[in-house]
Formats: sequence, structure tokens, C-alpha cells
Amino acid sequence: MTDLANSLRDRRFITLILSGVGAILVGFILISPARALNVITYGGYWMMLVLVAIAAWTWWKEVGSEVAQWPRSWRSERGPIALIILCWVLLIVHDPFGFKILMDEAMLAGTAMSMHFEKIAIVPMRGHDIQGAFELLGGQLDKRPLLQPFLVSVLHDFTGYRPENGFVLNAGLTLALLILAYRGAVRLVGRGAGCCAVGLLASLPLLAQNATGGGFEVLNLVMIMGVFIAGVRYAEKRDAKSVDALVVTTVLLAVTRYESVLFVFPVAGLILWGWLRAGHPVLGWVSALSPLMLIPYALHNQVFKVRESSWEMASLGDFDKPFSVDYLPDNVAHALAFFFDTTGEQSNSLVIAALGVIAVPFVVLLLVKLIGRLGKVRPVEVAWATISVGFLAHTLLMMLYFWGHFDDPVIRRLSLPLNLFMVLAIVVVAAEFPGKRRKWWALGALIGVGFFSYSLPSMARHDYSLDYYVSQETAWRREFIAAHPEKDYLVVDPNSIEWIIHQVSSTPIKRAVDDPDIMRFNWRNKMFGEIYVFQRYQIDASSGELSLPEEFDVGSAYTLEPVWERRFTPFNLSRISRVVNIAEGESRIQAEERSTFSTMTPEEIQAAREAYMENFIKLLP
Amino acid sequence: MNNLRSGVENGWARVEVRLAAVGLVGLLALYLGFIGIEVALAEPLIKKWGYHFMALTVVWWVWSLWQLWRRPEHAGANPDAPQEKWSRREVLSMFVVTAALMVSLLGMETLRSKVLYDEYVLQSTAYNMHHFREVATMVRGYDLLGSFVSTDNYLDKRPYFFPFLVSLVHDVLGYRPINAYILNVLLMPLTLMVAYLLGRRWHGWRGGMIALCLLGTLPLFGQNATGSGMEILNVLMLLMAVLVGGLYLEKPENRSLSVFILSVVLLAQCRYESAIYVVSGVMVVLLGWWRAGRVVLSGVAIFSPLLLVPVALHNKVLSESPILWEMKEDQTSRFGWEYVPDNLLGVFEFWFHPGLMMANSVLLSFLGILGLGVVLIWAVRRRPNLRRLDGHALTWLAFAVGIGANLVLVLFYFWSRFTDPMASRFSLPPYLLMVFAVVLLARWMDRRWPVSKIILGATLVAYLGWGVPKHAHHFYSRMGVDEIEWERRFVKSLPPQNRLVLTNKTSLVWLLEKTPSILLDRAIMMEDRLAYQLTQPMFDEILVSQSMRPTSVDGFHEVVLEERLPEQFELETVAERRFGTRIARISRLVAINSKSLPEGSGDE
Repeated sequence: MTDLANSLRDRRFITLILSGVGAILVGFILISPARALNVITYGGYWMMLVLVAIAAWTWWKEVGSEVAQWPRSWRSERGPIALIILCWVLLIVHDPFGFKILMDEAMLAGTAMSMHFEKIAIVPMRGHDIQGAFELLGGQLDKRPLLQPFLVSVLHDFTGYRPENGFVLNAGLTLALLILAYRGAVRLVGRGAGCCAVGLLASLPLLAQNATGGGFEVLNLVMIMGVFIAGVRYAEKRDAKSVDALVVTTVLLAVTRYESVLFVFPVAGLILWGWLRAGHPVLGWVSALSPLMLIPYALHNQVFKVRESSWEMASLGDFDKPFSVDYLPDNVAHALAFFFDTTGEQSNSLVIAALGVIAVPFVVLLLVKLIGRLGKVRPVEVAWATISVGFLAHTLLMMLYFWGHFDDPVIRRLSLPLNLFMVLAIVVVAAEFPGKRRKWWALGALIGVGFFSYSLPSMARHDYSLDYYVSQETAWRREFIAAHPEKDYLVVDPNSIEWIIHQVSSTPIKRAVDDPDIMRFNWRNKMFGEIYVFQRYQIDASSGELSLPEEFDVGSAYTLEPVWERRFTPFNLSRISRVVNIAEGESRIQAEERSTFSTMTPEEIQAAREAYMENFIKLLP
Repeated sequence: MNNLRSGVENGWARVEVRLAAVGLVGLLALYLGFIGIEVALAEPLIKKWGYHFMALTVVWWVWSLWQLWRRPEHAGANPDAPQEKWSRREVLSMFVVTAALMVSLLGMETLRSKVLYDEYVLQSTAYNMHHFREVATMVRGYDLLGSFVSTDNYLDKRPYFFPFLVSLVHDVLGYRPINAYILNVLLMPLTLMVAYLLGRRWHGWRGGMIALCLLGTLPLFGQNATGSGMEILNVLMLLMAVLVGGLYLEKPENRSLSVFILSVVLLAQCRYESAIYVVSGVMVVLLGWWRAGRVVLSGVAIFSPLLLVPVALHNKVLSESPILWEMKEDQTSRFGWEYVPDNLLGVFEFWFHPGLMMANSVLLSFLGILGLGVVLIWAVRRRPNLRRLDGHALTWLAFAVGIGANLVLVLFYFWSRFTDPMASRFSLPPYLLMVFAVVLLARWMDRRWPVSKIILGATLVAYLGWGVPKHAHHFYSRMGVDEIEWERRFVKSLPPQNRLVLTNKTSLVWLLEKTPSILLDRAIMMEDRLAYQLTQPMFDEILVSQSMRPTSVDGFHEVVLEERLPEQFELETVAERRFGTRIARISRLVAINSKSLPEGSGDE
């Protein structure tokens, strides 16, 4: 009772309660879902800026005094540093940089583009060069959380806009992940464990694939490890600075991937444990206000209410619930198929799978044992338990997800947190074995065998990337763009976003079919240097005949001349054609008579220019 | 002999003798600059000797600067004045922020011309200075036996300090049009660091960082720093003059005076209207005498009026050459009251434009005007004793008068509405004044609140929120430039040939690339020569650039009347591209049908 009374005298504790109430009101009650999307569209960039600035400031407060000591400690870590750099290089050299998962990565790149150019959070759906600069003319808020696009946009801000900046960020984050994994494992067990953790991660082709892509998976892993490191510091120190660092890192993790918000709950448990240990609430001002920091997540999440299609349940057929226990058996089978694939088509690591499947149950047992001795437990163990609960909850959620098929090319990446958990679990369980150093050499040797016999050839072949022809097709589009540097052309393509993020005008095929008169207006007035159409033909297995699915058919009004074509699978032909003619028809002519400069006054010429300007902007595809 | 020498030395050391000498030199300079030399003589004099005179001034300045740097105890830095020591962290922060701004700007802005056609003219002058040591701009040029020779040129109105420096870069790196941009990219960090030094003098690292960040994040600064114009040099020399002037006033002495005067002389040759700062310079020199209680006159000070003679002569040539004024048909004078209201409106419209179309900074405009207002109120209410103000404050005061006069002059100018992308650069000096007004404001207000940190935070937010999108789109640097760059890229993509370009814009673009070029008007006049070239080709290809504009709301573009060639010119279209509502067209001259040639068209 006294403790409660004392707590209520703590202004930060009161603030925490009030901000919690405020966050619930603002995040879930006061703002309608439609308005919430508007708030995130126009305020999302600024919210991310504030969150990242707070995180930077909080971490500086937490570790600023230690920074000067770091170079000294690096001298004694030369071996691990060399190992980390070597593993990082191995992870990024085999798979070519490119967009690996469509449309996820293109959507993220699009959001980063609008954040850079316009400071709003939309995926651009229309963009054209009107008076020289490529301008984004429309789009909508994407369902994906905003931290990764924000970081890419900052990279654009400081190095100029390039769609490839997403790859640069991921390559850098992969290095950060290896460093954090090393630090985390060292804190958990010791230096040998740290080196083994790095080696295990390097043996994961899935990580190599994502390290060279434009997605948000690597950032997610980095943030998870960040939460773990912050958790260890808090468990040890239990002061205002460390709790602030832990809380703000967890908030950033929550806005990295949709389901990563799950980690908020075990972290709350860890904080509570710290309070119990300290005998009073341990809070900094940042953590006291932290519920407010989750408002962006709450508001953004409304996208699933406003747009039911965001769940993409139609992608796999007749599913009516995104999560269900019914999906569990099938998903477990798919997970096993992924982890124990031996063909190299699944971007899995056999060594992680083989050791991890043994280690994880042991870790669960250790966690259960931990509950019995919570009072005497070491701080690092509490942090480990916290993050393990998060990993387990994440895995469970994936197994209940309608599309939780880890062996699906688009879904494999969702197994990354589980892979990271397995890596940490392996070194934690290995630590229980007798011996001081020899066991780590033995584990290292095992990892080496797994790496050289399976992972490295798998990464070198990267069948798992090549088999996913959508990604290859995107790379081909990028080659086309590189070969046409003027970017004064229009591309008609169902996936217009992929062109727009490269600052090439594009419109969906549906628009070209529905409004041929608009296309005719643009064609006649030479609005674009060329108009190209992207189509994907299907090839009949027996006759070899080409057929065009409806979504790629521009209709009979257009006469096309193929310019580039390529087969990415035996039964698909991708083709880019030039429009050489658009059949006569309605072409939106407003003036009754043709004018000519010889008979016009300067004022009439100016008026014609202005009227045309207004008209052509309206009639851009 | 020794007696004679010591007598001369003693005599020279006497103040009256020095004052008499400067008076005589001043009168001589006035006579030469304004009375004695006619325009007809002034023009060839500058063309032939301007380069050498400029070289002499620059060498003298560098030498004086070196002397000051080598023995700082004799000049500037008053040992009694408290100076904050540089820490490693401060130096690192300054370099990191400067480097970050540079990388950011270079990532978003393209190294290309920003203001038509100023920058091409400057580059052309630099071309001639490099190749022929002549202050002249090319009108025509041809490859004669392998050497590209300027066959027709004129003395341009623009001061030639910047072209001189570009020509030096050509001297060192070899001739390349990109050198002008490289020079500006190098001047950018230098300018930012001098701004840091000046800000630091008032308010330690906070003042330095505020000055660096406010100036570096100003889109107008970034725009010009990635172009090939003379604006950044003007800003740098203005800051240098203030910095060295401050050192001189802190401890009036010959070395700092020499550097200061030479800085002002060079500043006066950075931009046309920068000659105004000579008045500020004289004010600083006199203030120094007043503060020291004696006359300080170095050799440079005595000869400095002569160094300004080329400026006066150049201005004389400009005043007598109305064709260089670039006025519209309905305008009769360069300066007039009639331009003031609209220009004044343009000033505020530009400073507070909230969108992305202009290279302004609303934050700097707001804080700067607030700062200037506070300084003004403080000065009126407190009427500070000039003796108690530090040297830098006094120098700023003198140059603030110069910048104010500059702004007033610009308001009377026929082509200086800041909202016009061509004229917005005139606002750089006032913006500079605002930057340091903000530093002063922060210094005063930091006593109560952490204002410096708030300003730095606001600057970062303003840069990310508005500065970055402005740079990323650079709407204000596109007019005409996109088209020229496309033409250049297109022609570059063609097989190498002897090529003549008949252009609808400026021939300078092509001449800088050592490609002969003439304007369409001249092409029409020289029809017979072109016909001859088609039969006895000195050129393998003759290209024509024209633009087409819409004739109605529906488009139906036509070549504009003034760019149409006579019908006997037979053209074959080779490329077209839309720019806004216009379509640029490049054609090949295939034939000139001789039947249509008018009689006697061969006469020039």
C-alpha cells in the first residue's frame, strides 16, 4: 500500500498512466479509421522523425559515456571483428542486389520515395515529369510500417534519390546485425558463443537474400537484437536511462514489422520485473511518455480495418480468417519442409535447422525452470527469457497465419526471427555442455562443415532467388531503365509502381484499356518520347503457342512492336513492346477550329499555352 | 647614401607623406577610371590587360594573407580578447556537418548551369582567359587546323574574378567545362567554414554551428554552390572581408589592413553591385584609425585606388553599351522608381514562399528578420558606444550598411524580382546578414533559454521537411537548362563528326564544348555560306535546334515564328522531346534549295 502511495507521488509514474490513457483514446477511440490513415499519410514521416530522434538521444544518454572506451575494447576483439567482416562479405557477395520480394519491396521503396520528395507516407501510383522534375501525382498509404521507408528516405536525403538506397541500407544493417548478434551472444554466454552465433547467421542463405534486397526483414532482426541488448542493460542497471533505451527501442521494433509489436508484451514484463526488484517504478521521462509513442502504430494499424484486402487473403484462395488454429498443422508441415530442405531451393541453413530444432525445446525447458527461481535469476537470463518469449510468440503467430508457409518464396522471410532465435538458442544450449573452449571449437567446426557443404553452394547458386521469376522480371525492368537513361517514356504495366520508383512515368494496363482517348491525346502531342507496354505471355506446354492473360491485354486500339523479350520460366514470356500506332478515335479535341501562330496575337499564343498546360495535366495517364 | 636611404625611409614613415601619397594615387585613379580613358580605349585595355591586373591583385592578396597567417601575433586576434579554444570535438563536428551538407547537396543537385545564360558567359570568359589570357566572351569559334579559335568576341558586362579563378583551375587541370563547377564545389565548404569562424567569434561553437547550418541548408546557397555562377565566390569574399576587417579593427595594423583592403578590392570584382562594398571597406579603415587613434596606412592601402581602376573602366564600358543591359522593349532605364514596388513585393514573396518552387528558406527569413529587428531596436534604444563595440561587430555594422545599400540598389533595378529564378540570387547577401543576425539573437537569448539548440533543431527539421524536397526537385533550376542539357546529351550520343549547330538559344553552350555554333538569326543571314558548306563540307553535319509550342488547348504544336527557317532550308527531324508545354526539336539541315535563294544574299 505504501509502495503504491509512493508510486503515485512519482510524477513519471502518473505521466505513464495518463499517457497510457491518452494513447488508448487517441489511438483507438477518438480518431476514426479513415482519419487515422490521413493522419499517418501526412504525419507519418514526422512521427518517425520524432521517434528516431528520441531514440538517438536516449541511446546517447545511455551509452554516451562509454563511447570513448570502445576503440580500446576493439583492440582485444580483433579476431571477432575480422570474423564479422568476413561473414558480412560472404553474405552480400553471392546474391545480386535487387528487389527480391514483390510487391513488398517496391511498396517500401515507393513509400521511401514519397517520404523523401514530399514528406508524406504514400506509395505513389501516378508520377510524371510535368515541367522537368518528376512529380508524384497520387498514391495511397501502404499497410507496411514506416520505420524502414523512413530510414531509406533519410539515406535519400543525404545522398540523393536512388531506388538502390534500400539495398545499401540493408547491406549496412546486415553488418549491424552480425555485430549485435555477437554482442548479444557474448553477453549471454561468452566470446566463443558470439563467434559461433556470427558463423551460424552467415550460414543462412535467407539472410544473404534479404541482405541484398530492399525489404524490412534485416531491420526487424536488428531491432530485435537491439531490444535484447537494451533488455540486458536494463536488467543489470534498472535505472531511468536504461529503461528509456529499452522502451524506445521496443517502440521502434513495433513500427518495423506488423507482428513485431508482439515483443512489447514480454518487454513490459521485463520492466515490471525490474520494478519489483527495485521496489519502486523505474521510469525515465521517455518511458513515461512511451504509450504516446505507440500511437503511430495504433493509427497505422487501422489500415486493416479500412481495407480488408490488406490481409491479402484472396492471394491464396478461399480463406476468411487471417489467423486460426486450423492452419497450424499445415503450416508446421511447410515449416519443416523449409528448414530441412536439402536441395538448396529453400534458402534454409541445415546446420541451424538441425541444431536449432534440438536447442529450442531445451531453451523452453530452461525458461520453465527460470520461473521457479525468478528471485535469484541473473539479469541476463531475464533479458534472454524476455526475448525468447517474444520469439516464441512470433513463431506461434506465424503458425496460426493463413499464409504462414515458410517454404513459400514470398513467406520464407517470415522465418527469419525464428532462425535468429535458433541461432541464439544453439549457443545458449551449447554453453550447458562441459568444457570451456573445446566445445566452441567443436561447434565452430560443425558450423564450418554446414556452411561449406551446404550453405555456401546454396548461396552461390541462389536458386531460391532465381526460381522466383517475378524478382527476375523486376531486375529485367531495371535493365531496361538503365538502357534508356532519358526516362522520357511512358510504360503501360500492371505493376506501374516498379517504374515509378525509378522516376519513369507509368500507368496500369487497365487505364490504357479504359481510356484509349487519353492515351491518344498524349500520343498525338508527344507527351512521351515513346510509349512502351509490358506484357507477360503464357506459353502452352504442348503447342508452344503464346496466349495473353486479360490483365496484360491492352486491346486492339494499340499497334505494338516488340523491342525486348525474355523467358524467365519455360511457360512464361515477358515482353516490352513499343506503341507504334493508336487507332483513330475520340481524342479529346476541344477547340472547334485549328489555330496557327501566323494568325495569332502574342496574347492568344500565351492563352493557348496556359489552356494547354491545364488540359495536359488533366489528361496525363 | 645611407643618409639618403634613411631619409626616404623616415619621410615615408611620416603620416602626412603617406596621406599625401594616398591622396595623389586616389586622384590619379579617379582620373583614369572616370575621366582620362575613353570607352573606346577602356574596352581593349581590359580585354588585353584585365587578366594580368587581376593576376597581380590575386597574387598580392594571397601573399598578404600568407603574411597574416604566418605571423598572426602582429595582426588581428587581440590577445586581450577572450577566445574560446578549439576542442577536437568542435573541429570534428564542424568538418562532419560541412561534409554531410556537401554530400547531401551533391547527391540531390546536379552539377550543371542553374541560371541562364550567365554561367555560360562566365565560362566562356574563363575559356578565353585560359587559352588567350584575354578578358572576352566568345561569339563565334571554329576549329582551325585542329585548334579551336575564338574568331569573334566581346567584353562582357560581368566582373571577371570568378572567370579568372576558373581559368586557373583550367591551367592546373586542363580545359574542361566541368572545372567551373568543381571550383564552386570547392568554394562551398570554404565558405561554410569561414561562416563558422565568424559565427564562432560571436557565440562560440553554437554561433559557428548556427551560421554554418543556416547558410548550408539555404536552398539558394546549395543551388548556386552546384552551378557555375559567381555567387558563392561573392559570398565567400564578403565573409572574408568581414573576417579580416574584424581582425583589423581588433588591432589596427598594416598587415591586416593590407589583407582587408585587397579582400575588398577582390570582392568588388565578384559581382557588379559588389563595388558598393568599397564604401563599407573605407568605413572600416576609418573606424580603425579612429579606434587606434592614429592613421594606419600600408603600401597596399596607398595603391589600392589604382587596383580599382579596372572596375571603374569596366563599369564605364557597361554604361556605354546598352545592348549588354538585356532590357525588354518597353524598358528605357536600368534603374528607376517604377521598379521598386513590384520588386519590394517580390522580396517578401520570395522570402516567405511556403512551397517548393523557390530556393528560399522560410525559417531563415523569419528568424533573420526577427534578429535584424531585435538588433535594430537594441541599437535605437541603447545607442551603443562605438568604442565599446568589438571589432567584428563594427565590421558587420559597416558591411550591413553595404548589404542594405546593395538591397536598395537591387530594388531599383529593372530585373530583380526575387521570385524570378534568374534574380533570386540577389537575395544571398541579405540572407547572409540574416544568418548572423540569428547568431546574435541566439547569443542574447541563450542567457535565458537554450535557444541555440532549438534553432539548430529547427534548422534540421526545416532542412529535412522543406530544404531536401526543394533540392530533390530543384524546380527553380530547370527553366531552359533541362532542354540545353538534353541537347548536349543527344549530340554527345551521336558519332563524333565535325558539326555545326544552328541554335535557338545561345551558341555559348556549344562553343564551350568546342563545337561551332551560330544563332538561327545569323544562320538565315548566312544562308549562302551554309549552302556552300553543304556542298563543300567543312562540317559533316549541320544540326538545327528549334522549339514548338501549342497552338490551342488541344496541343497541335507548331515551331514558333521567330525560330522558323526560310522554306528553302530543308530539314529532317532527328529528335524531339517535350519540356513542359514545349517540344524541343533537333533537325538535320539536309539542303538549301538554291532556286529559292534571294539575289545578292551572299553579301554580309
